[in-house]
Parts: sequence; C-alpha cells; structure tokens
Amino acid sequence: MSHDDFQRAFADLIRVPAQCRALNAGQTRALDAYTLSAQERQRLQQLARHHGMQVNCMLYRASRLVGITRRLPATIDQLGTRFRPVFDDYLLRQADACAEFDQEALHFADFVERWLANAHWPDAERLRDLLQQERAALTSANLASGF
Amino acid sequence: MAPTPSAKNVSGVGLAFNPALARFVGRHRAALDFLSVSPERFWHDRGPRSGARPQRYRDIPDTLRQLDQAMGDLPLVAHGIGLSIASTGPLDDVHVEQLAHWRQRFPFVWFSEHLAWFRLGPQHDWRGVGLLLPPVYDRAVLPELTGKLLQLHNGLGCDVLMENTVNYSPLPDQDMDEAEFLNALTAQSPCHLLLDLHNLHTNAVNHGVDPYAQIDRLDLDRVLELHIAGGEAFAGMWTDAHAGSCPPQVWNLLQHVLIRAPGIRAVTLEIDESWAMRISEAQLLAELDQARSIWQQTRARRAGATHDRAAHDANTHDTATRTAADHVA
Repeated sequence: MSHDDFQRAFADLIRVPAQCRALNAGQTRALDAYTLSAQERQRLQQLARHHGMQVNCMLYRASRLVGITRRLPATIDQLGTRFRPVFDDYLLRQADACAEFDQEALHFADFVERWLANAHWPDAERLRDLLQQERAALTSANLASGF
Repeated sequence: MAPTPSAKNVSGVGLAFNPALARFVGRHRAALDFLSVSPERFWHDRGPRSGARPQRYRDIPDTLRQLDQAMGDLPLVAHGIGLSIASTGPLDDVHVEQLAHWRQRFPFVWFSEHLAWFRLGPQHDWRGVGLLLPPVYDRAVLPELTGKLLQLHNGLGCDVLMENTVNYSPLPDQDMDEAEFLNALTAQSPCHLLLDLHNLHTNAVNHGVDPYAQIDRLDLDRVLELHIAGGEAFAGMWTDAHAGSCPPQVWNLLQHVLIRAPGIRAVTLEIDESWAMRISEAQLLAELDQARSIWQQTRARRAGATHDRAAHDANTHDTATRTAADHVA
C-alpha cells in the first residue's frame, strides 16, 4: 500500500503546485494524507525541492490544456483572461487527466457549465451557446465513430 | 482467437507514424524500412472502468484508413502509449487483449512500451496523472514489473521492449541507477530494450549524466530498437518535445551505440504531430538520410572489423599450428 500512496503523493505534488511549494517550504503535513515509509517521505521532500518539479508541473498543465484548447477554441477565446482561474479550479477538482482529447474537453465543458451558474458574467448566454456548439461537434464526431 | 498473420522482418531506419505524417509516408515509402505505430492512436478507449474489451474500445475509422493507405507493404512495429506498466497494481489485461486483437489486423513485429507510470492504479480508478513518470529504481519494484512483462509477452506472442524514460526530477537515494535497473529488468524478464537516445541526451543535459558511460554500462545485447528525436529548451531544462531535427549529440550517440550493438534492428525517428506540420518534406528526408547513412557506415565498419578479426584469428591459428608443428618436429 505504501508504494501505491507514494505514486499518489508524487502525482498530487505535480497536479497541485501549492502542495509542492508547501512541502518545499518544509511543511511536511502536506504528506499527512498518504501512508508512506520514512524513506518515501524523505524522497518526496527532496523531490519537492528539485527544480525539475517546476518542469513537471508545467508539462502536466500543458498536457491537460492541449485537448481543451484544440477542441473548444471558441469557448476559450470568449473566456479570455477568465480562462486561467477557471482552468486552475478545473485542475484542482477534476484530478483525472484524460489521455483522450475529446474526453478531457467534454469534462472541461461540463465544468464551465457549472461554473457559469454562479459566475454572473454579462456574456454568460454567449458562452453557453459556444459551449453547446462545440460540445455538439465533439459529441457528433464521437457518435459517428460509434463511441 | 485466429492465429496472427506472420510478421515481416524489420531492419533499418523507420519513422514513428502519426496522422500528420500520413501523406509524407505515402509519398516516400522508399525512404523507410518500416513504420512504428502507436495502436492507441487508432481507437477510442473508455478507460479501464468500462468493462470488457468490446464495450471499452471503438476503432477510429478515419485514422485507420490513413494508416492503411500510407503503410503499403512496410512492416510495422508497435509503440504503446497506454499500459502504464509501472503503476502499482495488476497489469491492465483488457488493454493487453485489445493490443493482441489489433495485432491480428496489423501484425507488428514487436511491441514496445515506456517503462513508466502515467495512471494511478486500480485503487484510484486508474486516474490519469498527465505525465510519464519512471518507476523507482529499487530492487523491491522488480518482481511486480517482471511479472507484468512476462504476462504481456505471453499475451501478445511477440517480443516486448521497454523504453528508457525522460526524468525531469530524479529521486534521491535509489537502490540502482537507470542502467543497473534496465539490466536487472532484462536479465529477470523476457523483455528487450528500446533505447531512446534523445531521452538519454535529455537526462544528460538536465542532470549532468554522461550518456556514453550510461550506454557502455547497459547490456546492449538486449537492445533491439533505438529512438532518435529533437527537443527544445523549456523552463530552464531540455525537454523531449520530439521537435524537428535531431541535435548533433543524438547523432553522435547513434553512431556510438550502433558500432557496439550488433543486435539492433531498427532506428526510429520520432516527430511530434505539431512539429510534423512545421518541418518540410526535404528536412524530414534529410533526417532519415542521415540516420540511414550512420546505419550503413556502422554496419560496414562492423562487417570490416569482423572480417579483420576473422583474418587475425585465422593468422593466429596458423601461427599457433605452425609453432605446435615446429615444437613436435
């Protein structure tokens, strides 16, 4: 079980940069949620201090961005500078990184729909229309392939 | 299950296929000895939670058609991107079944995968982690991995190769370094190696490792395939972006390995889809030409060395025979 939790903790340090920064700053309680051996705790603490973790975190964000930006370009364009906080929140709440672009984009589209319910943005209707169009294009492409 | 059609022989220089390269492959088959394909590019996968193989996978007809049209008579090797073999927990056996099913239609000569984990295990619903991460190079990790490799080898009925991984944040205080771990893995399991020279180069640039020393410590008899590629600088590190031309260091590594490893059967050039659209056909052909030129030169040098050694051995034998005869006389 310990090695399983080691992988989960490593993945979470990459997914949640704040957790990595906390561990880097010596806040070892960032690892309290995992069952780890002393050696695994030590390894993760050293890992958090390694400059390569910054690259891991950025590549992780890039890998999740690709599908979303390719499949939902009009929605992203309309969100403009609001995209970043929405995307940050999405990464926190949707931990499962989908290897398939379509699935990642559909998850993100669902997430933006939920976000819109509380956002009170003046262009909310326009965003809903764009989401509907882009989601429909994705869904019909998947239906055409029998998925 | 019907028997898999016999796979063709693979020897020489090939290209990692992606849809952006389909037209190039169709037009320049003569420049290639084989194609490397990632089966996962040709189907949708609902994920390990979705049950048996027929429910889980759906072919993508357009990309299958592209491959059918582009490949012609070229032999195939498969390069998997879906097994996450170094995740804790059991092997994703439905995925292995799907790979074996795909091999019925596209009889790839061997199957390679990344020695990496990119999903958390079944305890976490196989959650994707968005990156390829290497296993911990500890002895305790080996039994689970070797068991999975045996299962994969038996499930596919062909050679299985593990690829060395890029590592941006190496773990401290591991039982073994990468070369020792790869040697132990190939000694204890039926797997061979796919040595990615750009991954080696990337780790060397980022962590000050000597790639030649790494290569010289590897059991090169286990290497069947090499990957070459280009990369790019990103956030203060060199990344394995498969970005266009191979750097000179990778060409030098290619020459170094090919001279020393007679069992290598394939050199595969990798170019990311987004870069494939930015590189001209002439540039791509030049990369393949350079790989082929090194392949041929090193084969010729090896053949010459073998010939010289055989001549030397024959001379030594003659001298020894004469000396013995003189002694008897």
